[in-house]
Order: sequence, then C-alpha cells, then structure tokens
Amino acid sequence: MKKLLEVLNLKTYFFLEEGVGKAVDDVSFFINEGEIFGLVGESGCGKSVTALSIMRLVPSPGKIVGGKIIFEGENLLEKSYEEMRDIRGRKISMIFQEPMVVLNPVYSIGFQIAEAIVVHYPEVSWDEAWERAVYMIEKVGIPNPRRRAEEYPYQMSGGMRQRAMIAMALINNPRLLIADEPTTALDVTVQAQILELMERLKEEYKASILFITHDLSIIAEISHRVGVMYGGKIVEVGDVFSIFDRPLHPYTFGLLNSMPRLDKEEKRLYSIPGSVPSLLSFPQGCRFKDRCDKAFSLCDKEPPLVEVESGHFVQCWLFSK
Amino acid sequence: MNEVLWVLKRLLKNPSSCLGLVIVLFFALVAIFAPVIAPPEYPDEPYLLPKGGWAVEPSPPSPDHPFGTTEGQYDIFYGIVWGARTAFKVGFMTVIFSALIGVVVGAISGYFGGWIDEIIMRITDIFMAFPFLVAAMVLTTILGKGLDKVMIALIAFGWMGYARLIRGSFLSAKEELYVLAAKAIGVSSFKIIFKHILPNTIYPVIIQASMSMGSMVVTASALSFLGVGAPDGYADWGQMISYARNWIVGAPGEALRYWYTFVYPGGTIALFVLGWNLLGDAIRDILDPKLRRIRVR
Repeated sequence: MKKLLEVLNLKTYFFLEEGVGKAVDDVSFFINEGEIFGLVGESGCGKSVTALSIMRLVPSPGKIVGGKIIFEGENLLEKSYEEMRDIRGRKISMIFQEPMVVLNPVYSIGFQIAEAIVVHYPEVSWDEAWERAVYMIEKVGIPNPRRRAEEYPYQMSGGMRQRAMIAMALINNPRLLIADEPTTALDVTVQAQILELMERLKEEYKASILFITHDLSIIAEISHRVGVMYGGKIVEVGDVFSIFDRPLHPYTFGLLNSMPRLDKEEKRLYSIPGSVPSLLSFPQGCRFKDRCDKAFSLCDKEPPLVEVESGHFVQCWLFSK
Repeated sequence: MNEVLWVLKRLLKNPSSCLGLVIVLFFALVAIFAPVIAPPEYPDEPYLLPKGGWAVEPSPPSPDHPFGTTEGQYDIFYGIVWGARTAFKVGFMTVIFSALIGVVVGAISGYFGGWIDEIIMRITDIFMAFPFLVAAMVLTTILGKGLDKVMIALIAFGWMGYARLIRGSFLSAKEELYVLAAKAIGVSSFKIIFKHILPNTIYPVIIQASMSMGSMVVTASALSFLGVGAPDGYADWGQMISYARNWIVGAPGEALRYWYTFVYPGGTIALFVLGWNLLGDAIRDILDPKLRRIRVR
C-alpha cells in the first residue's frame, strides 16, 4: 500500500513565558492511501496540535521546530504560505470538534460551501459553485438541500452543522481529511450517523482520514490503524486488531480497561490513576512513568520505539531488550 | 430586505427612537427640499447666504425674513434650511471616511497582531494624544478656510476611536473557530479579514458612527463659530451662531432683544444632535447581539 502522508519526528513546541511546552515531541506515523488512521489519547496529549501541524495552522506561540511532514512525496514544512493555502481545502481538509461555532454565523451554509470551491477554482462561476454546494448538501444527508443551503448556521442543529462542515471539507475532493473529534459534541445517535456518513464518503471519494478522538469505541469501529498518544508522543502504533487484542503499552492497556464493556462484568470501571502532566513539567524519561504501575528503574531514561510484531510499534522499556 | 424592515419596525416601537427618527427624517427632508423651501437668490452658488440689506444690526422676524436676519442682514431662515444640507454633508462625509479609515487600520492591526499591531496602535496613540477640537482647529487653520478643509481635519483626528473599537473585536474574533475553519479551506488573509471577520464585528462601528454623527456636526459648527470653518457668508449653522456672537447679550435694559439670532441656529443644532443621539441609542439597542439571538425568523 502506498503511503499518502508520513509524519517524521515532528516537533511542535509552544514558547510560553513559563517555559517551552513540548506539545508534540518527536512524533512519527504514516497514513496509507484509503485508510482511516485513528489517533487516540486523553485531552491535552497533543492530538489536535499534531493535526494543526499537518495543516500548518499551529496557533501562536506554537511553532513547528523540527521534523518532516511528507504528503504525496513533498515536505509540507518546506511549502510557502501561498502553496500551503492552495493545499488546504483542496488536498487536505479538516473538520472540527465544535460544529456549533465552526461555521460563520453571518453567511448561509450554501454560501460557505460554495466559497470553498471558488477559493480554489476561481474560474468556476458562482451559480455553478452553488449548484455543487446544493448537491453536496444532499450527499451528506441533509434533507431538502435547496432550501437548507439558504439557511444560516443558527437555524441548524449540531448534527446538521457537522454534516454541512463535512460537505465543506469534501467538496474539493481532498486526498486527506483530518477529523478532529468530529463527533465529540454530538449525541450518540447522531454520532453513529456521522461516522457512517464519513465512512461512506471516504469510500466514494477515495480519501484517507486522520481520525482524532478520545473515544476508543469509535476507533474500534472505523479505523484501520491506530496511534496512541500520550504526553506529546506516540507510545504505541499498530493495526486496530493488534492494538485492541494485544495492547502492549501500559497506557493503552489502561485506556482499554477504562472502557465500559458488555462482555465482562465489573463492579467499578477502572481508571488510570493521576492525570496528564502539564506540558511544561513532563517527567524525565518515560512520560507515563508516574502513572504507570509497571514502572521500574529504566523508565527514568527515554524508551525507544520498538517493533514488537510486524507493524506494531511500542515505546516502552518493557518490550526492548 | 427583511432585516431592514425588521429594524424599522423596532425603531418605530420605541417612542424615543421614534422621535429620533422623526427628527432626523425631518432634517433630511429639509435638506432635500432646500431649493423649494428657500429658493436661492444666486442659483449658481446656493450656499451663499442672501443679504437683506447692509445694516449691521440684526432685524427681527418679518414676512420677508421669517426667522429674522442676523448680523450683516443675512437671512436666518435661509441659513438654517441650507445649513441642514451642510450639516448632513459634513456629518456623513466625516463619519463615513473616519469609520472607513478606522476599520481598515484597526482590522489589520487586530488581525495580524505582533509588531504590526504595536506600530499601528502607537501611531493611533499619538493621534489620540491631541485634544480633538484643538487638533482639528490647528489643522484647519493650516489647511485654510473652507468646509472641505474642516472635513479633512475632522477625519484626520476622528478615526482612532473606530480603529480601537474594531481592533478589540478582531482580537477576540480571530480566535473564533470559524476563522480557523476558513483558514483550513484555504481562504486568504485579506478575505478572512474583510469577508469573514468584519461582518461579525461591524455592529459596534455602526452604533458608534450613528452616535457620532451629532458630535461631528457640533464640532464642525464649533470650528465655524471659531472662525476657522466655513467661509464668510456660507450657509452653516456654526457660522450663523458666530454672527450672533455680538448680539447674545442684547441691548442695555433689553437682554433678549436679539433672541432670534442665536435661538434659531442654536436650537437647530441641538435638535439635530438630539435626533442623531436618540437614533444612535435605538440602533445600539436593536443591533445588540444578545437581543438579536432571541429573535426567531
């Protein structure tokens, strides 16, 4: 399979007055063509910053300080501002967590979707762009598309807005769709519909998806390969079956255990002790060691990423000789 | 169109805003129909006040001069009718251009931030360091007499408020997710500023502009009153009061003998400003985003 996107040793640091926050520190992973890659982790572990780094939209005072992002054979970090603007929305697009505030309140959704076309294809007439927007609105399952296109975001529910956002992201047929917790703000039934929609459209448009979430059940359902992030690092990568059947890293293990399950009877749900350390005060060595019940002397040194079985990598001293 | 009708409907609901609207409309009608209400004596130069004679002393209202004549026998009624045109011209021009400059400067400053913001805001501070009236007066004196010079001076020292206002809104609006989303579909900075953020932040500017219509006209009148504004004999309310200067105290034993020389122009200015302020207040209430949310179409 061909790799569409390869992130190599990406480092995105935030330069704050209190010090340097290493939000993404030496992260490497790749996404194959036509694949859904799930990125999981708790809040504040660097998932969103990774996504924004790929888009080159890291907010100040954050900066990409090292690494490579190879997309279709070219390093995105070497692109100029204008080249990058051309890629955004045309080859890579993104949908966000909060559908309620992500659309501009003063324009109709048809306008915003049509604009996404015209921005990249100025030769397309507005009427044509509008027609395509209406078509796309229908595609994402919004009933009555012609009338809905003229409606404003405040007239729509969260699920509808997220559908509109998906329409906007897919209208230019991008190669990669970055979905940053697209279902987190939606209720469960709508979540399932949105997931199904994304899977269907992914097939139809032959796009790859980088799916960011903290919800393991979603990952299990839709992704092919999974990366587990903790404290700005990817601690375990593998295909979805090996991660769920044979989790290696104690953090992945903890995450899986803290998921409610129907096939096991438990009195109380497991939870990983402690919380994610602040960006500014990661412990030396393994960043998970303070919360890890298997920590031992070696953990004070930074563990290497090792391949335990084919395509299944883990960054933990338990598995390196 | 619905929007305009809705705003109008709300304007008419409230008595004070209704009054403001009536006053402003009244002046607008006076300005539009000035040639009918007070036919000019010199059609080529309608703003030139007609003289009723050569005597210095003002004369009281008479059938020929319904509001009387002021110093130098200039007709007060004519001055007020054509002065309405002057007032609208000065008000609209100064407010529109200073708002335009302020919005562009403030938007760029707020959106880009960093050192661009720093430089622009320090320049703004320098402009704000001068007292408005004094600065406008000095600039008008340097540029020379004439209404256009007054307007230039008022614009040159009137844009900073708008710049600060819009910068503040931009600082918060640029963090909104819809801005990030627009960036993520590849919209250029220019379009994000003027197409995406500006429509969301323009309301305070509209309110500020409608509120400052009155004060701009007052300041222009003040400049004319001080003798650096409109040229001699020009139909301008400030000028009219300026002619009344020597007659405000009246004659010995008859303090209010020349009341018409200052009551008519002074009252007109007060009424005009009152009208705009009431309207501005009403517009602020109507455009308040918190009140707008409640509305269901």
